[in-house]
Amino acid sequence: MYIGCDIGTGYTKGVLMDDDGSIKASLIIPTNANPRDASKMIIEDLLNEMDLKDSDIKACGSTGWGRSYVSVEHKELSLINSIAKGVNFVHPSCRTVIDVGAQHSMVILLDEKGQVLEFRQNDRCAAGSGRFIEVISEALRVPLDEVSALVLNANERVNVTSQCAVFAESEVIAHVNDGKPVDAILAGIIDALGRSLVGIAKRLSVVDDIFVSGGMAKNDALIKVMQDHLNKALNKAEPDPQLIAAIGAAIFVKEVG
Amino acid sequence: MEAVKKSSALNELLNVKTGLENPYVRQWKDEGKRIVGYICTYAPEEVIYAEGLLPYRTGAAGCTATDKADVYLHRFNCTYVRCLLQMGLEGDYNFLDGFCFLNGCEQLRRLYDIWHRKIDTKFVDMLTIPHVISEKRFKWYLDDIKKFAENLSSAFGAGAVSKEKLRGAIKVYNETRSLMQQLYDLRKQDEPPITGAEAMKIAIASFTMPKPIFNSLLSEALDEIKQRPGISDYRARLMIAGSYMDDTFLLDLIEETGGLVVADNLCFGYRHFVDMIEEVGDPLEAIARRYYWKNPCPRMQGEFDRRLNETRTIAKEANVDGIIFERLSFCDNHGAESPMESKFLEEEGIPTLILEREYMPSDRGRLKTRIQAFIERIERRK
Amino acid sequence: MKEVKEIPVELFKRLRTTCAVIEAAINTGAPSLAELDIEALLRDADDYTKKIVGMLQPDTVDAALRPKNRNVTRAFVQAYGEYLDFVLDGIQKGKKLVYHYFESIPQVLLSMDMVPVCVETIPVLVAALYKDGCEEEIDALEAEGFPAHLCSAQKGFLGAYLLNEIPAPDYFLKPSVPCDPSNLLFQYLSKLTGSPYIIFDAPYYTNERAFNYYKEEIDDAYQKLIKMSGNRLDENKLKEYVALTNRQLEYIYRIQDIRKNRPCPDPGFHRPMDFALYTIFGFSEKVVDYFKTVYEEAKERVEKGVGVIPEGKEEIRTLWTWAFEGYDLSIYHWMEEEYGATYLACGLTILPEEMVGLIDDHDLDSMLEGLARLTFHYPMSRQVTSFADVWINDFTRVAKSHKADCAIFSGHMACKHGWALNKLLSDAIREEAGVPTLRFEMDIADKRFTPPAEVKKMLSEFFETVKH
Repeated sequence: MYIGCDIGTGYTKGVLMDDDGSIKASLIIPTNANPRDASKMIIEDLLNEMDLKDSDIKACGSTGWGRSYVSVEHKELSLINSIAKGVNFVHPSCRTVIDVGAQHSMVILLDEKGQVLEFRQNDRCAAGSGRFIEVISEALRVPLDEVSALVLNANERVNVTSQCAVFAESEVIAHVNDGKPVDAILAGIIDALGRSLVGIAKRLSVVDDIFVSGGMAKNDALIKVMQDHLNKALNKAEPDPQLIAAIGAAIFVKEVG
Repeated sequence: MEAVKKSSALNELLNVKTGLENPYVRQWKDEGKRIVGYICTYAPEEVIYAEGLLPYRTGAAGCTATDKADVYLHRFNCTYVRCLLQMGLEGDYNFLDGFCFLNGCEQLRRLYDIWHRKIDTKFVDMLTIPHVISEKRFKWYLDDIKKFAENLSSAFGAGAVSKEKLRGAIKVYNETRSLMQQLYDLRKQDEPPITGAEAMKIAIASFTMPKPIFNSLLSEALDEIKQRPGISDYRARLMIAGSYMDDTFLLDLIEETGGLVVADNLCFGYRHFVDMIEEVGDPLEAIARRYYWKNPCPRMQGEFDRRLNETRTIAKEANVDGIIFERLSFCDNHGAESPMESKFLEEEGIPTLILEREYMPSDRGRLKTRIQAFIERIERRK
Repeated sequence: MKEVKEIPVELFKRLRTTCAVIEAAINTGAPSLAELDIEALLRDADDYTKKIVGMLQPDTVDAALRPKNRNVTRAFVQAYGEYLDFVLDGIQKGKKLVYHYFESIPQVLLSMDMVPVCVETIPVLVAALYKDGCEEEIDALEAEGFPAHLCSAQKGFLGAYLLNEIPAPDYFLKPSVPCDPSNLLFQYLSKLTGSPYIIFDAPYYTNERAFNYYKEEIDDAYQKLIKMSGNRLDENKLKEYVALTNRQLEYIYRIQDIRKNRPCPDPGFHRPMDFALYTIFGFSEKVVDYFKTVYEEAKERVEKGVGVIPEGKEEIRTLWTWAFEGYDLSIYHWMEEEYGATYLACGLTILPEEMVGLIDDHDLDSMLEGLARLTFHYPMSRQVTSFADVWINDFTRVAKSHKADCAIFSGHMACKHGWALNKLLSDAIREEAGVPTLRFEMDIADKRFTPPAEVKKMLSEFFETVKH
């Protein structure tokens, strides 16, 4: 068995992978600003779920922002390579992956072997990643997992033009006080994020098949916005787009031995 | 286009649309005539006009997103240039037959490099102007203008432009300047008959339509304006200066907060219309001279004292209570000019406010708060 | 004449002391910071020196001590230290002090018996050498209401003046390029100090018409300076400085060429030092020695068939298509050691031989023409002053000639014109040389914008994806 974990600033993701590459168990827990504890917990929980011991694990691969904080012996792989490897493993037809995490978003072009050809990340600003949606939905008192449905059913959309997440928050508050409906405001920020992501993608001249991974890929409204603006078909990475990098890390240690 | 009912000229000027939505622009096109856009106040409009082309200053008002432009530009580029490129990429400027770029500022000059590669405007040219103003360097600018005139002629097959046509253009444009000066003079009154936002709208109108039509409309409008009651219920008289601005969002915000904008030193306002062309000697040279030596943009080096003086003069003549310097995020020229002018003006007892803004209307709350505080500050002093 | 202690020269003094300390440290033979006996080094040092040592960035000192970097670094601090002595001495003696932009060649100023100081070098060196960089200085200038997006290479200098760390000059000398931010800040400092600001206007094109215009502008500027100062231009002295310049140029051309070798035989740690010494072109024999050392060490490596990366590591040849980040120079050493990533060329040191050549020293006119040509094609100025094509063509050319594996656009946040062409540039490099570009934002003399750890992270992620 191999373990792959992706320790992000928001969430820690882990997968348990068998010798044949099948994923036996997976888990997503909040990092809670403590990557060491999070990695320890996730490994323990994965082992418990499958009734395994430490000795059953051949190797552990780690990636993400907190990749060096893993408590057990492990090998590290960069996030970009993990995403590429992971999506290539699950979807060999993938040539472009758009990954949207809590604090980053990136677009990666890869070849049939999962080798990264080129990549581009969002500029250093939270307005280009999941955290932006989190902050705003918190301000609007809407649980994150309800955002997509609200946006898909919204009748109108309020324009959010601020280039900065902090200013965008004030803009949103102004809209709320002007009586704009919550779903219209959410539609506005999802649109803003979607356009920003498409902007990154366009800087790279994307190639089919295009997959979306990362936590924010679970937001169908966001995917729809991106599809509309990019004018290309987008596919959500399986089995859970948030696990792609962890899967990549597991594949990595499995290959390296 | 015909006016079935003669509506007020002022009304027309205050409600002008841009681009092909503007009936005069549409008519020009329908008559088979061509339009050449320009991005900077140092472009010699008369030369374009004398060639039988409509000079059109390329604003970007109404643009709400820059995602296409940001593929090429970056968040460190000012939002005006990003909006302009966005409009270009979206086809909003397809009605231009030509585009005159200038090395006015760092952001604008690069637009040329992107535009001519990515957008299919038939004729694209770059006009360059020295960064320093002196008789010796004037020749460079004059030579570039001559080259530009030749390029226009070749591109549009009109043959070299005659001195007569140039003189004609000068007359028309000097008339515009003279009329605008009259408009600006009216704003200096204790109870001006026109708001800053309205003055800006009239300026915007001038940039979009053929000047003879504009001159005729403004002439009529001035009569209408003089009939209007003066505005007396304002809390403070303000002057505004700074980065490129071609919409009334900020002016509206100031004026709804009780300020009245009675003067400006904007390149889309006063700075564009001031300084007449001398109708003597070689007309091309006279045109070049006026543009080169006029009230300078901060990108001109070694002219700070002159600009500071201009600001003082404008402020004094309009009897302003305070000056608002607005600057676009990432605007180098006004980013540096504003604290410099502000420093010296404050030392002389003239209150100033520096406002950072984006080109697209946004941030109402933050801006309004600051404007309010400023008006309260200068109100108390009166 | 003011007494010395009244004239603020703290920053020059600090840099001078630093050069001496680094030289002493290198002379101990210690091959790394861990192995340096700092106590012994500072045993006879005065309090001021001890204080300065405490301010130094340890990683940078460590990289300087490494065997592959030490000799060149020693040559640098010897050359630059001697120059700073000259500056301090000149200020004391009341010589005319001229603050200039880095493409204004100092040779003429030197032969007018003036003291030229390049404004941009100082903040970048300060950011590179000291833990706190020139952050206080930058903040001091921004406190006056200037936006943060102006260039830290000038902000740091103006701030230093506001904090009384450098004196007012007698004159400012600058071309009207490469950018508005630099123009505006020079203008402000001129206003604050009351010292005249002499500008020579740079044209937008790179053809002969443009060059002739520029040459006239430069001549006029010097004439103005002669008239204002009453100093005369000593043609014989100029000839000496030009001769030194030519010897440096010869080495520079060979150094650029030798980096075509695989693996690259010239450490990236040298590039910022190249940049600093370009700004005192022609100053002294020691400056020639520096470039000689760089070249000869590289040549020796080529002869031995070795590079500057660890044995067994696969080389990743990087082309820096804009500036380097100037606040953690150890990164250029780290990337070689960690990733085998070598540094082929960059926008702050690229000098095309076919454009500049050598300076003809047979008379005053030919010398001024040659110097004008050097100014015209000076690194960064040449690429930046006019159409994007120049920048794009220069770098696609180097990407091909030096067989780059990847490009790095280390985008200084004040360079709006640079960021405005970043995609055109990286597309061209991808199309012509088939290699990807990493683009990241940074502020050349302010580590707070993109801290070194983040730069390393981005470089790491990028290198891990580059196929060689």
